[in-house]
Amino acid sequence: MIRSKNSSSFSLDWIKQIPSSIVIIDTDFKLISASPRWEANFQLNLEQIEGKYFVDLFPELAQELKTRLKYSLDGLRDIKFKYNANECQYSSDDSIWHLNPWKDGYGNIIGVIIKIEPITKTQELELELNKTKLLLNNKTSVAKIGSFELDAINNSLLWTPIVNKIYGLPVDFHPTLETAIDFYTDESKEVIQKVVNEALTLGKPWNVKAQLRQKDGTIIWVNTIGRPKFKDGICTRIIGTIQQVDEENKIEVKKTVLEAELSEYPLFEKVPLGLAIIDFDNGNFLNVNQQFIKLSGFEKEHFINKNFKEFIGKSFLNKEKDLVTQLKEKESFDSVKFTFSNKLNHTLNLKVSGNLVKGLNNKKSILCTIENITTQTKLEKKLKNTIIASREKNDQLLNFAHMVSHNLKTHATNFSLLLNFLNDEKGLTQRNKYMTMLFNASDNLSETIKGLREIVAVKSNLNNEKKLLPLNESVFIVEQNVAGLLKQTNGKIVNEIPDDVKVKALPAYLNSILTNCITNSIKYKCDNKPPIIILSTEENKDYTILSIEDNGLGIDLEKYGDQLFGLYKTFHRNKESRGIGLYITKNQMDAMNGKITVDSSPGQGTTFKFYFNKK
Amino acid sequence: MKKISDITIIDDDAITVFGLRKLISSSVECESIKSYDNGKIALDALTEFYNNNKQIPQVIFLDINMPIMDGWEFLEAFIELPISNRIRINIVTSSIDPFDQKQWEHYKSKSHHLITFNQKPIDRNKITEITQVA
Repeated sequence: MIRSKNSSSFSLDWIKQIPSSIVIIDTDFKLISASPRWEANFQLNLEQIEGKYFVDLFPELAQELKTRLKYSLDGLRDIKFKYNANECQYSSDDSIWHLNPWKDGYGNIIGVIIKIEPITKTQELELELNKTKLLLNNKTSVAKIGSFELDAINNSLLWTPIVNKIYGLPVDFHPTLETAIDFYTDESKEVIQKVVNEALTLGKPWNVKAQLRQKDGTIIWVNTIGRPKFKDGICTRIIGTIQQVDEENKIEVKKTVLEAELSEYPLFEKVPLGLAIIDFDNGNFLNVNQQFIKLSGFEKEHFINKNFKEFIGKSFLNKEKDLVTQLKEKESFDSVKFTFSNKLNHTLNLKVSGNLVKGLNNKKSILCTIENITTQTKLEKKLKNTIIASREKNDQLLNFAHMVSHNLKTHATNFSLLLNFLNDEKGLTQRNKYMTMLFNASDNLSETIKGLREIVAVKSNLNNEKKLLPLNESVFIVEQNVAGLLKQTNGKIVNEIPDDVKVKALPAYLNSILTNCITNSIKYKCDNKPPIIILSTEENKDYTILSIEDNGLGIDLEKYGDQLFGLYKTFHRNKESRGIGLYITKNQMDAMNGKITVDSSPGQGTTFKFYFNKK
Repeated sequence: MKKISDITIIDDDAITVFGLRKLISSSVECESIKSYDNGKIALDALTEFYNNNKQIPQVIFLDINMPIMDGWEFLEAFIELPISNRIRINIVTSSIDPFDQKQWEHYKSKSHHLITFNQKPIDRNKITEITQVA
């Protein structure tokens, strides 16, 4: 059973029953009692500390605590005080201490009740905010706080040793009201005399800033507060504080989380790179910089104190776990890409990397850099496509070069072979035979070169504009061109294309493609039946599709499918096969962003489908 | 020099065939020279020889770029025939495509026949050198 050592006689048993964390101190700052929760909170054993000077338990806080306890003893209610776990040895949790005067049954203040409450985010921010306001108003920081008490009846002045320090006086100096005021500079002296008089006569409290000349002559600014106490209409005493206010922030003062982070990154706002600080514990934005705002198009308030998950696509959420792991392991995460819709609803490609940083309160937050790589991504994509296209072109060219060199070389060796024979031969009949062969070789060479010219023509026509052409007009022209061939073979063309069908194509290519395909159908007809060629069209979203179906020899696609459109590939024993037609057709369709497919089996005829791109 | 009984030329180019025939007949002794327009006709003929126990040519001159069945397709099928004699196959081409060189190495290692790779033009000395029983 704990009994009060104070003059108060009532029981303190109740304190053992209450669930909250409470400690009680008497007017001499001695610890009287505490609730079990309080003991647990600070891991202190009541029996060992009972009756001890409370402030000694928290030496780190002594000065701040003392001032506030004094105010509380003066009757000030609900003084809030933030207990910062980092700076003290007992509890690992930050908390808020509520200081209230403890009164006996007659209303006399006999001590202070301190209630400890776990800190909530809002409270913390509130407290920090108040502090910041004060700091911003003063643009200075609190250096030293000394307190004093003026006994108005006996005209004696007592003050704490800190006031001696502020005055630059030895500790054993004992002031009087007059000597105390004498240290102020002439201007300030008048002010101080005035406020002290008003307090004594009118009971008006003061809060003024004044200039003080220290013992060694140094002039400093102080802020002094005084509260007169009246009894029976007479001012009996004035209690107050005097603080040195210093322009140069000699003492570090806790700032808001935000400010702390900002002061650690003085260039935060100015960096031409999106920056965001995110709370590591809850994922909320603590701050974002100008560049980030510019990037997103939203205001700062759109982000602050909101969870980052609200702003990003679902695909990124899967990565979250990995990022947290990375942050825990190496205090940073490798850059990740994700998409973000800005205010104008444009999708941006962003590259984000982050580092874990510890603020002054040992609070973990993530400093993220956000880079807009939309343009880069687009360019990269374009570049990749260009590379693929040029690689394809390059392969084609190499293939083409091999083919050309092969074919021309064949002719060249033939010429040299025949000329050598001719040179050695004396007999006229034999020589004439060689001459005939040389003419043939010459014709073959011309034919090959003609074919190459057609191929080159396809490749050099790429820049011409496509036009919307009535398909049937081209079909009629081609029908007339092949009329002779058709008549020879008793062939027939069935045109099922509606007259209003138009395709987007280069006129020369369209004619060449139709001619090639229809001639092929006639050339590679079945020996025993006349060729029938059926033309029809269909449409889909992107293409107008022309089908050319025949009843000819057909092609074994399993065997030749991959070579069908190759240069100099021939599949039938036909004197007129050059192996160029389909190669050119394919190139022409490619050049017009179209495509070509084939369906065939030997003896069953062939269906070519030409996809003309609508764009 | 050992006399060669049968020589076969597989090439779609009439002038090349003519030239080869002339060079071979004036450089080496042989009983007969046959020629085929493409790989398919040649393969059909050789398969028929094999099936009827007729003489398989000892030396084959093979072109690569031919319609219907090219030189490689012919080789692929030919080495599958269970012919125990070692046949000499001289590839004759004007191709400079590295792909063809690779194909040759591939088939050379795959078959017990002697396969050589020859760039056109082929002169008399070359013909003498490569027209021998393997």
